Amino acid sequence: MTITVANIEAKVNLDRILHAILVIGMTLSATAIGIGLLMSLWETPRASVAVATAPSSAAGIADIVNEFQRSPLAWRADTFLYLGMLLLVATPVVRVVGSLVDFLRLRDWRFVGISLLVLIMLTIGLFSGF
Amino acid sequence: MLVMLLVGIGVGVFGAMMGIGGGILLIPVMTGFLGIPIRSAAGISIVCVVATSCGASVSYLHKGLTHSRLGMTLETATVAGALLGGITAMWLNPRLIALILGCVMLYAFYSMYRISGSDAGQPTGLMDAEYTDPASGKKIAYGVRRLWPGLGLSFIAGNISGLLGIGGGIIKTPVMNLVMGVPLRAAIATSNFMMGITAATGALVFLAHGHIDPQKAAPTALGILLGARLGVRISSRLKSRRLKQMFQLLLLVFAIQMFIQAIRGIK
Repeated sequence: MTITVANIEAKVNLDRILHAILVIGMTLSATAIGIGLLMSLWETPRASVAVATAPSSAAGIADIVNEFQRSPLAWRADTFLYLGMLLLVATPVVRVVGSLVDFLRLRDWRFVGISLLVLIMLTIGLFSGF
Repeated sequence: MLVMLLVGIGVGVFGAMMGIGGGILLIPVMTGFLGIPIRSAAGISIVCVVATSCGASVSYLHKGLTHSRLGMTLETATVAGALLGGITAMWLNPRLIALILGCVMLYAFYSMYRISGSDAGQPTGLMDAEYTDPASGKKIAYGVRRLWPGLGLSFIAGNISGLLGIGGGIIKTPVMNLVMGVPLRAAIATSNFMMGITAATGALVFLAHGHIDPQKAAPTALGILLGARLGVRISSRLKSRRLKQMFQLLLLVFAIQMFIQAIRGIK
């Protein structure tokens, strides 16, 4: 791909989309973590979350799901911290989805395929934990 | 939590400046000084690598330094490698993990002598791109060379990332600069961009197994988000030679620490 005005415009447009997704993801994540940290200052301390040591226990995701099923007003600091981490880890994934949409718009089928391949591998990575 | 926040800020600054996730610094600090078991430290680190990537990429994308298409192409290899590394990490001996990390740090120490710090580039007809150098104000045009060797080495970088809970940028940056002909600043920016999705793959595996403690990971990640933005600003002004020397010293110190932990054993 050589440098042309059209290519530069496509790159700038893609960079703007990626930039927006990252800013939104970072802001939401930092907000949730910030709330969790503030809450932890006045909350009754409890033992650090037990970290599973047995492989293939799948306890991590199940515990997180149980936490989020409660009303947000009842969430503890840990719940907000979990939410912040999930939003943070989800941001690059949403970034790939955003670029996929832009490549579809441009009908750049090579990079549509590349983006889909990355998303498929991410999905395999997620379900490999179960 | 305050200690983790401050550690995160420091790691975020350095990580953003050098195109690495900071995990290669974070893990020795957590295991050596804070007494966190290495398997937990790897999980915390991989989340923090995502934070470094997001925090730094926001600024690098804004400056036009990131080669997003090259990054996405190399991501296919790094994500595949990370997938393999993240799964095998559940079964490897922690001392072996420490030994591997020490070897990776020594390799990084050596490779930094080879990075010229030059920002010269040449269009090749393959994924040509251009950016305005923030230090000199010059427009730099460049292209990509040796894509297939770059993909192979990116796979290895991804595997090490998933295995050790680091971003792999410590390998990706010199690979792009030395092997693929990408100017150093663009290599740093693109490496930061790539490591987010590579680390997210490993983080999802760690998260699914309950190996990430939010009380330690979350404040560290927040510190890194803040530090990474500052790191990009500093890197635009700092002479890369001086920074490289400081970082080489840090790598050597931590490599020795990792070898000591591998020999003595880790809790």
